Amino acid sequence: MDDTRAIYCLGCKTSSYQNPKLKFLVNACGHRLCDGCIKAMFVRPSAPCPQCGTILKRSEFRDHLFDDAHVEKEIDIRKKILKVYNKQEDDFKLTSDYDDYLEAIESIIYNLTNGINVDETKAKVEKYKKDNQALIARNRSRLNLEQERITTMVKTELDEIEKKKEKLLLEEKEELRKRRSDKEALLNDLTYADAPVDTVLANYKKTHTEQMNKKNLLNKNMDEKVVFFTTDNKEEGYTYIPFNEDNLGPKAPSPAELLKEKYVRNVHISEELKGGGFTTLIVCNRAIQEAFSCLLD
Amino acid sequence: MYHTSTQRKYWTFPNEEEIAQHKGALHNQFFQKLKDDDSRHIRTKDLPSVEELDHLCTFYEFELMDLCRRFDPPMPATAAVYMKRFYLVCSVMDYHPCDIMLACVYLATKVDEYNISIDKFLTMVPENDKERAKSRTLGFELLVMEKLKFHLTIHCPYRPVEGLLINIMTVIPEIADKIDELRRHIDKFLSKILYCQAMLIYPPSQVGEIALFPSQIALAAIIEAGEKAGLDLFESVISAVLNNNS
Repeated sequence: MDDTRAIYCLGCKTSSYQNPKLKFLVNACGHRLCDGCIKAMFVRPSAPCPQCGTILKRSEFRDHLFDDAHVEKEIDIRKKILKVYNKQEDDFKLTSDYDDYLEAIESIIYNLTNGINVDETKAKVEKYKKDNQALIARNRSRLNLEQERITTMVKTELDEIEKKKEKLLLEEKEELRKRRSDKEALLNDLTYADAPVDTVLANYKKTHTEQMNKKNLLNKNMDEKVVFFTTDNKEEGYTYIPFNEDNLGPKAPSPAELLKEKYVRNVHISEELKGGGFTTLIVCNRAIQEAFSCLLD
Repeated sequence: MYHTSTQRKYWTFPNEEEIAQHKGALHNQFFQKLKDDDSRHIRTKDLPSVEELDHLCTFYEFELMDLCRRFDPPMPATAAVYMKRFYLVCSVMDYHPCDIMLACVYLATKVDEYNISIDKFLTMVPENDKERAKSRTLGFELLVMEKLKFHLTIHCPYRPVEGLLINIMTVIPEIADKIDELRRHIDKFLSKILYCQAMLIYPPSQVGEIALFPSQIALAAIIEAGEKAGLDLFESVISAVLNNNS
């Protein structure tokens, strides 16, 4: 079967169609090889790629993500370059400088991926690496710290969710038990109590609703406590400024006022329009707005 | 909203003289073109005057109103304004008002969401050669749109009238039983408005000048209707409108 979507190993030409469990790995050049071939070919720590002849290291094989070898190669290069070019936005005084820096990175990656001025670009990267050694090391440790912080945050959050789940489960069990005992109590009351049936039932209902209300309140409080994933970024958010338009006329009543002052009472629309989703308020508001627009200009 | 509309920005003029000037310039431009063409030997006295062309245009505007009245509901305002605007941009000598009138009305049916096919539209048109009328209507439709700079929303005084009436009825409930009579006069006034240049004129914001924005036309219509019905509405209407601001 010739299925173009099936991916195949470049060493033994086994396709994923023939063996769905086949594990593919890629290396720096982006070409796919299967598990078995790699074991066979890389007896020594390095060997050439069967497709393009690039010398590959056994230790550098990683999981295959994309069908396109080009994309795989680009990702590989990007990872390497970003390890060296790891300046952050706050390392720059001007945003435009940072943008230029990002653009420079992109052009380096592009050149390397597409084989344009490879030697020159590599030399440039090496030079940058030498010149900025201290900075790169500093940034690397900083990024590591950041990464760690995020991981711990995610972990605490997951823990919290887990705890909440457990708590809920316990509560549910408790409730079930309670309901059962309540029911029994009611039956007992109905059988042995002297009070008439109506009062017994009414009492039961009353306590029942009270309990429900209490529970709802509890749940509400708990929901508020749940902290979702947030960064500690205390940047100021967007503040909404209501759009105040000058209609060059007297101030028209707002929709709320139209309803309150019974303006809508004087508007009549056909059943057809109502069926189409128009309400008297829409019609009324539009007419009023138009009537007041530019009235005094 | 009118105050942000293209109508206010591009299609209103301070006074009638400016409109006349505009038209005159267009005509002169056309005549100059004819005179420059040596092969034709045109003498000035052979040419129609600006006034004559204006009369021709007005005649077809009346025709347009008649045509629009055949529709149910009639919707003359949009088409009439299209035609008025078109002849502010193009000379009557370039495009015959008869064709433009048809295109304007057909375009207005679409803009006013009055769905009608071209064949059904032509049954309304008092023209014997239906095929010819069809090709001209469809042919000029795009041209009209282009010359109007695709500013197809026309703010007519009808909705402001409704808004003002709602406002008045709310503030002065006693008036409610006179409303039907008022409406009759208002309709008359508004259809008269369409025959003049009112929809193109921009009022200088000085006290005492006639005011001619859609909302202001509406206000004028109501006050005028009130006079016809023997009511002095001026004071009460103004106070009703300004009620919210005091």
